[in-house]
Amino acid sequence: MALDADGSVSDEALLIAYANGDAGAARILIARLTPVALRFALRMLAGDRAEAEDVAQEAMLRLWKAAGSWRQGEAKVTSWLYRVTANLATDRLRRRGRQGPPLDEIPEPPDLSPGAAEAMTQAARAAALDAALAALPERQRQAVVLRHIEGLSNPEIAAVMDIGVEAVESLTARGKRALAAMLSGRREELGYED
Amino acid sequence: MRTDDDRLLDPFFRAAQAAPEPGHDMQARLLAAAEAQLAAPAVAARPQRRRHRLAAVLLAALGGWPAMAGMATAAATGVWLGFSSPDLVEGYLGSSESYSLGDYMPDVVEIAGGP
Repeated sequence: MALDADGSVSDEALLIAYANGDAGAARILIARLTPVALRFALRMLAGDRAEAEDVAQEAMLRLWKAAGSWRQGEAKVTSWLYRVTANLATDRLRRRGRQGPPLDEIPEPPDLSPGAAEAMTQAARAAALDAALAALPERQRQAVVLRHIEGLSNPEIAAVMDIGVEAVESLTARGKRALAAMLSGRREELGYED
Repeated sequence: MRTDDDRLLDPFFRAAQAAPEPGHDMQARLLAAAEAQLAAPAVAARPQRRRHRLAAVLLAALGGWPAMAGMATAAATGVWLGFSSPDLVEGYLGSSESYSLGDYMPDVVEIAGGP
């Protein structure tokens, strides 16, 4: 497809093209943005894949609805998507009243060949992080995930969360301190190397 | 500036950074929804301001909010408006454009504080 053959068309340009009737632009947005929404939703929902898929799907459906009245140059599409995904995840957690599996219930990885063991170590680390993230206050969790997993800058996080940059820094510092405290006791069993 | 917390947490963050693959089913559903949204633009394309002004005029015609105090009344009023013929409302407003029922009903219920 000629549109975006080299990946240089912005999300916003694609969204505007979609709103003007170009379904091919939607296809590219799906490929670009669904993994982002899904990864973020997974971290906000303690790694629950089914829940995260529901939330990511709903966020993308809302993007289609918003496309027709999208105001250019005001916000990044990804900022909008992060905010909507976070709100949907929050709603889901409140409705179900749960925070995720307790830290000491994460299963041990089985004994496997070296390559597979490394892969399982990665999976076990991600699961342990999910459990620890689930124990954080929601706003700390969101700030830490956006900064250290999604790689957003502090001003970008401030825009997503509708707070000041100093508030972002405070949330991430407190969140990381709490995560480190929870995860430091699990270093050996999770293959952590100094 | 890396702290001790950063050094401890980095392997965990890296493990979580792999972007998951949404299933083909999910992508297909999203594409179908995108196409469906393009095929039904009438309600979605209405500017927000116009919808609220319409609702405000309709409310004034009913005697304003004091006349509709209470959720039950507001809900019933919403239903009444929903059953109003667009022709009657058009005539009152003196507008030559037609609006679908969905244009005013959701707004009135929203302003009332939601269902």
